[in-house]
Amino acid sequence: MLFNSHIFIFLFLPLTLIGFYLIKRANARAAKVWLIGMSLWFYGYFNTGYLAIMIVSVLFNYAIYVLMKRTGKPAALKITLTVGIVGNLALLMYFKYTDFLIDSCNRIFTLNIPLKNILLPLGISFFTFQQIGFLADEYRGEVKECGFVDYALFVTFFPQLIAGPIADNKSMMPQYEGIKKGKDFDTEVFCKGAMLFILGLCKKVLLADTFGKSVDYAYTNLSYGINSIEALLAILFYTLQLYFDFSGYCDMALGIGMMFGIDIPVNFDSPYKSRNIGEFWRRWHITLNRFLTDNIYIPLGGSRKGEVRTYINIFLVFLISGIWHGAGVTFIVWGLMHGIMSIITRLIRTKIRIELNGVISHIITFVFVCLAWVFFRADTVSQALDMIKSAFAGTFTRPGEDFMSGFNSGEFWYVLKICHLTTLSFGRYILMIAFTLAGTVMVFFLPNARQIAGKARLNIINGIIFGALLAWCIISLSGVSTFLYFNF
Amino acid sequence: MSENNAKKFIISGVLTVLAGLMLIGTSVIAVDPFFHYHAPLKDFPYIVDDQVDMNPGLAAHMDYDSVLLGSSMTVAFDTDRFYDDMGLKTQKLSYNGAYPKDQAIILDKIFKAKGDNVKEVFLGIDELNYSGDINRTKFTPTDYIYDDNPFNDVKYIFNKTVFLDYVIRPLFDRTDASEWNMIYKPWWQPMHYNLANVRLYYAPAEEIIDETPTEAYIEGIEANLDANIIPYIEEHSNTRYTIFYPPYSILYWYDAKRQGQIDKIVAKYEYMTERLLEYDNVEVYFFQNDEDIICNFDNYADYTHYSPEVCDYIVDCMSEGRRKVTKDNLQTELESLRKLAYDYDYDSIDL
Repeated sequence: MLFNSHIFIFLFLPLTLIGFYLIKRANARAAKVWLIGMSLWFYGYFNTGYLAIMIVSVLFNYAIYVLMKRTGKPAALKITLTVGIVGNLALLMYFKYTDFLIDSCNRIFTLNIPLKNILLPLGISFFTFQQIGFLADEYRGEVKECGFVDYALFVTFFPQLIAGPIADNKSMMPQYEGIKKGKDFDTEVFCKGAMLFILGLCKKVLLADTFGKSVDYAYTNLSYGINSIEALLAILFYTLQLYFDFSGYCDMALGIGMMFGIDIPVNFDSPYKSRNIGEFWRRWHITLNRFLTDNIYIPLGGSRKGEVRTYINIFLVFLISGIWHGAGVTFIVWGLMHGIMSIITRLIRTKIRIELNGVISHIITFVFVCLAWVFFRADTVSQALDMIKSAFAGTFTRPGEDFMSGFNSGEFWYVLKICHLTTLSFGRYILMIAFTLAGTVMVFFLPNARQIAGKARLNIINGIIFGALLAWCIISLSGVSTFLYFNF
Repeated sequence: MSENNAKKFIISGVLTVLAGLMLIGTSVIAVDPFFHYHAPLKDFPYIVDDQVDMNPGLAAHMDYDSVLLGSSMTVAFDTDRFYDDMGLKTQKLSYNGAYPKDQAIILDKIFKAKGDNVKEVFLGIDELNYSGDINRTKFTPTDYIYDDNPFNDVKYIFNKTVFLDYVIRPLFDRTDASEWNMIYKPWWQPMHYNLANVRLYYAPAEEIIDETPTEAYIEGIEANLDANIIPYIEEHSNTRYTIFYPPYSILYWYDAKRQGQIDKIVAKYEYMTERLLEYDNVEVYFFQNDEDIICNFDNYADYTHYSPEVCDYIVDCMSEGRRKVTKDNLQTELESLRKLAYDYDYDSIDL
């Protein structure tokens, strides 16, 4: 089920909320079981086959956790953890990477092994990593006693189930354990959650999907030739689309969590305001970065084993991040680009000791991130290179009508028509320019959705504004689109 | 205080959402631009341009006693001509690029709505589309239009595109309104029907001989007729089925010749016609070898799409029984087509 779908907004969310708060009055454990049940429906709505895979994964990991709890000896603990991690990675490898590996072998060794065409269960990367993190925490002695219901809720809680954030034991488990029987309902937190959900929905439905239409056009028509302006805009638009899409999803997840009185970890903190790549990764997909730091970078020695090892560790972390994001060479290239850039940034800071002007370093970081996203979006490395080549080919002609069609439709286009602005010679460019400026200003200068929801007052005017925004999003849902991060 | 403010926020927010959705939803239901719930309002300037989303509603709620089905080869017909010639109130339900499954889906809707009150089904058959997968449709049917689930109608009722493009836009610009007898009509104007325009869209097919055996095509046609057409002919035997093969221009046959397909296509027509003529409630009309039509490029806007005048001619023929093919004259007509397709002086066409 998608957050941006009618069934979720009209049926699933209200039903789950009402059920949770009513049941909680009588029995906290039953309320948690209700949440688990509804989360399974949420997940199984996509494909019931996926549900079995996730349930098996939860049972397997909880069994490993129980075994680790009962094992006193360090060696046995280590073996059990290893079994757990290998089990999780095997599941992930099979569903996510089997076809990629077969295809790679076929290409490298000119073989003809048939592909298995395995369907990727949604969110498998997220719930697998979340459970590995939990087992690692248990190994480090950071997990208190955890009942099965709390554990199942920790993994399956629907707001963060299929596209993160990757929740961690330390911040989440006390909250699930803390769900108590009673009538307690924080109206203010609920309202703030609703605000954040609506803002996230706006980012996805009104912004990301609009930019996405031009991006899709550019990549689809790249082989037929697009001009440099279209290519440059497509690169910028994808950068904006991905942010509004993924952070919009996370805002919605956080907002829904708040409606249930649960604080889901923050995953985005205005990442395009970053002045270097290190800062970017402290602001973009924060929970993945924290997972990789805690469970790969630090266990490998972090920065404690000398400079060369530090650089190797950084490189490995970004390589794994690239592989985690997708079974394809483009994702590996994207990860390596970030790894190399992180190493260069660190070298400049520690060896050359140059402090770049804030604006310049900001621009360099943003341009680099934009170019790296080209590999993230492209189907092949050569397609990514073609896009970059097109961008710098020097064919600076006006963008075509088809490229801009995503902007020139719907409510704003009608407003322009009524104002007779569409007949002007530059009329067709107005909305694209307006969206581009608005999107850019939002990501560079304005507070993010969390900050807006945090500061917004609860009053009638804001009620009307947010109500209107929600209605606007609801009528924009037809032609429902999927979130970009579902397949990671 | 804070609790009070939160309650005000919730109440004002919920009321705004409800008011906004009520306004839009009520407008969509009242106008019903896809005719999902009721027949069109008398004076509303409907824009009828979305075959996939509108055909089921038209089939369910319009007042008609016959239907015109087929591909884009049927969109230029004036349905008033059927009334003038035959006294039939004909509803056009074309799907551009239609496959047999598309026809089966809309035939289900038609007979569900009208039962045995359908006097005649006019069906244009494009042989090209009748030998593929029997379940293939040209477009994915929109779930909330084609299924019987009332709950997913929210996607229709609360739909920005439906509201803006089909409820608001016609009110601001009534010139876009469709004429009911000419819905789905092509954008070509009379000046576009000539060889110059045909040349714009046409490039001769590559001279690659089609290796697919004729039997494979015939098997495909057999499966499609059995699954998607014949059941309706048999189940609704009181309905007449007037089937015609749209007259493509001679350039269609030029391509067929270049790819070694003439005999295969003729064999397809032969099989289809023989199968269809097994039923007493079926008539078949054959225009493929009508030289006055297919060799005159003033009748065409591209190499297959013919003018409204040709459409009128086809209706006239069907009304008068001209160019009807029977078991007796089928072979003569096919031989005439084969001869024309092989012997035509294609070099005389100024391509």
